[in-house]
Amino acid sequence: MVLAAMLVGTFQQHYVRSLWTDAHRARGFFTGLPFRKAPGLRQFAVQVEARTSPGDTIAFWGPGRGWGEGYGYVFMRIAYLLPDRRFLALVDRQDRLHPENLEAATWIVAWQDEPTVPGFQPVWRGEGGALWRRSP
Amino acid sequence: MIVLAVMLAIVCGFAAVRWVHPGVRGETLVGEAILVGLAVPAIGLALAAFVGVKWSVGAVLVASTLISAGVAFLPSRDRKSVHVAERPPAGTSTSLARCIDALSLVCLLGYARFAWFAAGAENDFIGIWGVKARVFLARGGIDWDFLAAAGNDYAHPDYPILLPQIFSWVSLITGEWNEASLGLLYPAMGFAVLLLARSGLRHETSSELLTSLGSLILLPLALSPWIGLAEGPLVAYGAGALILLHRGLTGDSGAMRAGAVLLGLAASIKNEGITLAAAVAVAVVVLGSTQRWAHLRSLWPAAAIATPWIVLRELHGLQADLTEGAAHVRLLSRTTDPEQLMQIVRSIARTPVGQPVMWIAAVACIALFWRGVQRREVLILAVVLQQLGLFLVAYAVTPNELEWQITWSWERLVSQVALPSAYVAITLAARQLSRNRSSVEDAMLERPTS
Repeated sequence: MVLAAMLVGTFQQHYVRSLWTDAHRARGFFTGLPFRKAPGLRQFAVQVEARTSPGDTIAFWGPGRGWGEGYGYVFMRIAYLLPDRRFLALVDRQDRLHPENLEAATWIVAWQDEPTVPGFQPVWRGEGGALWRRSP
Repeated sequence: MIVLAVMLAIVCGFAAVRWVHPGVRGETLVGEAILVGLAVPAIGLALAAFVGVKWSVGAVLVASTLISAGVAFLPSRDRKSVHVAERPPAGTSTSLARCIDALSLVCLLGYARFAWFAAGAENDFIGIWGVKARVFLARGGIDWDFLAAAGNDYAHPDYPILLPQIFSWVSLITGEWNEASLGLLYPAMGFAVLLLARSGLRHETSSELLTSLGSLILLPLALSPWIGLAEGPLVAYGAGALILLHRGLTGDSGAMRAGAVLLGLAASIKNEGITLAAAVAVAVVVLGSTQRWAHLRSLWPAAAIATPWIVLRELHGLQADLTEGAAHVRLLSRTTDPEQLMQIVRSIARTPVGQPVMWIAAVACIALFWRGVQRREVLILAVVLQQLGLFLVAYAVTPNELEWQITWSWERLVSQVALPSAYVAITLAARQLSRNRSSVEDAMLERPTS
């Protein structure tokens, strides 16, 4: 009896249903799921990749004033999409500011915002974001 | 290509298990080989990084070969491993057992499909496990600068790095970063720990039917729904370790050693694995038999595998967010203030526990069959209770907003101890049912025929 209850309690129908799920559609859904709150970010990352080089140090200027207000969401994703660039956060998870990271960066990538930072000049502007380079 | 990577893992695993658990055969051998084998190339990459060799396919192959060959040719320290032959099935119920196994296989295949298309969708995969693996791959080694950088605390730099390293070596072998391929590691790990559970249940009950039924019950607990996160691997290594230690405490020194190796690997997956290893050590000392110190000593592989990361993260100053700032003040304030304690209780009560019916049934099962409990099962339950207690302590010290922390972690944390808890419940019930069946059979055999 208790074994039957345990069986009922653990059984996961959706694993069985997965056998008949349209895998192509499901894969497409799950691939897009983590980026649903930042539409266009993947394409933007491709453009940033084309204009910067591996190893470049890039400060991320993002939406929201705190980590939990959108900044962290986009920062985590762009760092994931471009792992061979060194992304520096200007705000951390505890909402502490890190202006020293701006000092260390040679690029600024801005998403859904327009920074005005002395010493940097815009080099490219695309849909959703833009790229600044430290002035020589 | 992912099949090639898993094959490489199994070959490495067989070589390592040959030394770790001499004489082991069947399901236990395959289960241990998959779990140990997935870790061997990752450990090889860590050693390559340590000696300054840039990560590459060649580095994976050479390091894995050296480790496997080195371990395979080590003289066995102790060949006293007691391999208990897996008992033959009872006969009458074999067909039903096969039907149940077929259903298990269907569920496993469905899960594999789910893991393939759902891989890479989890927030913590993007922000913790996946990003570390990708950064390490891009750097060709462990990127300490990334881990220590101000602002990268979102990636939990203090977490052990075995899982990102597994993702890294598989990506090197497959030649690409493919989340769907990485997702297939989850059914492989779940399958491996299920094999260990099956072997353990067969050993405890000698009933093919109860073994199959128990495996079907345990299957969803071994197959984590969070593809890409550490819970699946932690359950595989952690529960696998406890199942082997449960068997090892009967005098099977090979199972004990293999369990200790898996425990060390669990401690290399996530911080909860480190506390799991500590909880096992405490339980062995406090609840162990007269051989408690010998058993504690036999856990040395766990310490040997887990310690390097703990030392390295201290050297690099990688601090856990839980212990940030005045952790002791938060602990005192939350544990002495009834209102804050009630807030923890209320938040936990509001958060789903995963499989509540299973938990109720498992607790009822343990209570019902408590008379048949052995010291080995008490030890596992003590480990589970310690882990649950430590999760509550973590909530008491967290600097994060309490409701948020509990909402986003409680179900996953509880899932880490579900399999060993259910394993004990099933073992107790199945053992009792086996005894009852034997008694009936004995009575029938002794009945005089007229």
